[in-house]
Amino acid sequence: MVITDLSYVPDHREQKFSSGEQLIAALKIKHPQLPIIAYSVEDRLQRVRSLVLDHNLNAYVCKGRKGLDQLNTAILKVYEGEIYLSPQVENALSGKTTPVLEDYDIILMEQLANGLSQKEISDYFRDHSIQPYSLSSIEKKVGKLCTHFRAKNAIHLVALAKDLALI
Amino acid sequence: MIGQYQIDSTNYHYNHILNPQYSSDIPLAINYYTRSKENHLKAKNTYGAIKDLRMIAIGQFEIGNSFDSETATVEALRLIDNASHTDTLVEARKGLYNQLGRIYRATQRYDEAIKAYGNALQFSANQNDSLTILNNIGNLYKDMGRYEKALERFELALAKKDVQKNPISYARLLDNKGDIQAKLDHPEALPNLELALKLRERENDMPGKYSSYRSLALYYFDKNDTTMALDFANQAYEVAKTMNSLTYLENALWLFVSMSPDPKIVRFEKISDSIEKEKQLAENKNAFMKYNVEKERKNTVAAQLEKERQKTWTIFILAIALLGLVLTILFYFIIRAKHKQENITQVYTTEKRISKKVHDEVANDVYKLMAKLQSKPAGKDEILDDLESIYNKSRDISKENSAVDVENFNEVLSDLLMGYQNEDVSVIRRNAATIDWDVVPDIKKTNIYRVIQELMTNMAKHSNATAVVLNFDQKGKAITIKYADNGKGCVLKNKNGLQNAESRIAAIKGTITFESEPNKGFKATIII
Repeated sequence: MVITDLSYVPDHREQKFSSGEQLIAALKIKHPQLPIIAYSVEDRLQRVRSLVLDHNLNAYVCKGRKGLDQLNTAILKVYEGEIYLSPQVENALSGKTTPVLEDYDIILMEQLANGLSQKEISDYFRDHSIQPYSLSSIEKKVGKLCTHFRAKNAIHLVALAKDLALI
Repeated sequence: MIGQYQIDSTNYHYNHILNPQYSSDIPLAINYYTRSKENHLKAKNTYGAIKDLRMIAIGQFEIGNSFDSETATVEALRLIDNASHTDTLVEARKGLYNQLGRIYRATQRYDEAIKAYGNALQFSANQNDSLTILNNIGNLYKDMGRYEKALERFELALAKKDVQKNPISYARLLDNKGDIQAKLDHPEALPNLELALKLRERENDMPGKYSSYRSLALYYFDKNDTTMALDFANQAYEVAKTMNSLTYLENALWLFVSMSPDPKIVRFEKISDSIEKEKQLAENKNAFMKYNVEKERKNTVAAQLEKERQKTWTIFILAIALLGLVLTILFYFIIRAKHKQENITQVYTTEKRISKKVHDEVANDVYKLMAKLQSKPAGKDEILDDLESIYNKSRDISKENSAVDVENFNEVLSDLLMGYQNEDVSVIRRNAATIDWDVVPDIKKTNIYRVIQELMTNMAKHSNATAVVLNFDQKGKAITIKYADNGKGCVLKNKNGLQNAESRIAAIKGTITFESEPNKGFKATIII
């Protein structure tokens, strides 16, 4: 097993690999079965993702207060054949992104701000052929938006949307 | 003074051309008018130049330089064609075409002479002028031996209304008509000749009288009436003597020679006449050749001048091009030097900023920790917490200044925003339009990334916001990014740490505006 940093400090010796990425890539080509753990200050998801997906890196541990503990866990997980990522960079592979608002969401919040009930919004959407317009999907959507904005209810949601100049 | 002198000498030379006294008069006058023409052309005085050319044409014709006379005439006509007020130059045109007719007649180019007289007739404004020209055309046909045509012209002139009002030209036409009629054996020949004489005697028109006596002498001589012929010849001789003109005297004496009963003298007259004609022809030919050689020489000189001009022009163009090149190169170096200067300044400010950050955030915290440890013993966890905070700070400084990978920029931005999403803050994105980041230059993407990062870091550090919205929009080429949070906001006056974002956006020729009040959240609009 290899544990490597990603950033190499240049010194008087000749360096064959100037970064951890290069070393990992070279090792994985020659020894695909060799387990490798990256251990770095770096916590940019893009870099983590590229190492795991492009070079089959086995684990990525961020240096920090809990770095050594996480390294322990990483070694155990890798031994069991699993992939391990520090919690800071977990999202690199989750495919999760920050929520994205659609035009639909904006119109929905606008109508809420106009004082329409969810039933009335459903009618309004149907009349203006905005899909989906069923009451249940509107209820679901409002619930989702409340989650995104950490809003307690629809009124709180509208207040937040106003504050953030969305409507 | 000069003007006065000019007018005086113009009159002086004008008279010399029309009534020369000495053999040098005409050449001197031609010389004068040639210089005058050049001056008038330089002063853009076309009328003056045309007048000069007319005088040159008359002078050259009088001294037998038909071709030079023709050149001057043609040049004057061309000037008239190019002049702006052609209608005021009708008189000049008529005179020039008439002159041209005279030249062609003298050089036996009859067809061209007829054409020239035809043009002159078109431009003749008054009756007298057209009578003169018709008379000239008649004489031309007489020279050609086409008597019927000649007669036609004279009759045409005589049929004009009010022709008798000008007795001198009327008599001249009658005399010429009678002359032609005699050649055609017309019975009215004698009455016309006699009427012409009567009119001329009444007007006491000396050249006219001479002409009539001569015509009658020749008429009677043709009719074999020697007595009458000699009688009129003597009268002609008397008039010539009164006029005291060598030309007329010579002409009158020739009459006696041609009417002499001695066949040898008649033969002499014939031979002399034909020799004279030969000589004239030879002279014409010679003059023509001389004229052509001169023209050729002038053309060569002109071509050489043109070549010289072309060369100068080429050198001029080359010089301009060279100057342009030098300027471009100079400009390039200036721009480059300026750019370099800007780069150096940029690097300098960045260094200053980083150094200040390391001093304020890292060194200060390390010092605080050391002071804390010196004053009282601390627990392991407490020390570790402080160290972690310092570690995070130094890592952030490194992250803020490390290179940004701008490929798949959408994903990169998404990751960046994801990094600030946690239990306390919700980061929400809105894409009012899908932005094609591939066509945006890397430097712009890098700076946009940094500014968003800075805004997000500020938000995480100071704002206590629970929701952040980033709105991406594109209209045409302009990309708009709106940042808004619901945090505690700030007073914008002291621009806490926002200059950096401003200079980054200014560096990529964009604008950034901020909007905030305490407890009203913070908003920023970036337009690239």
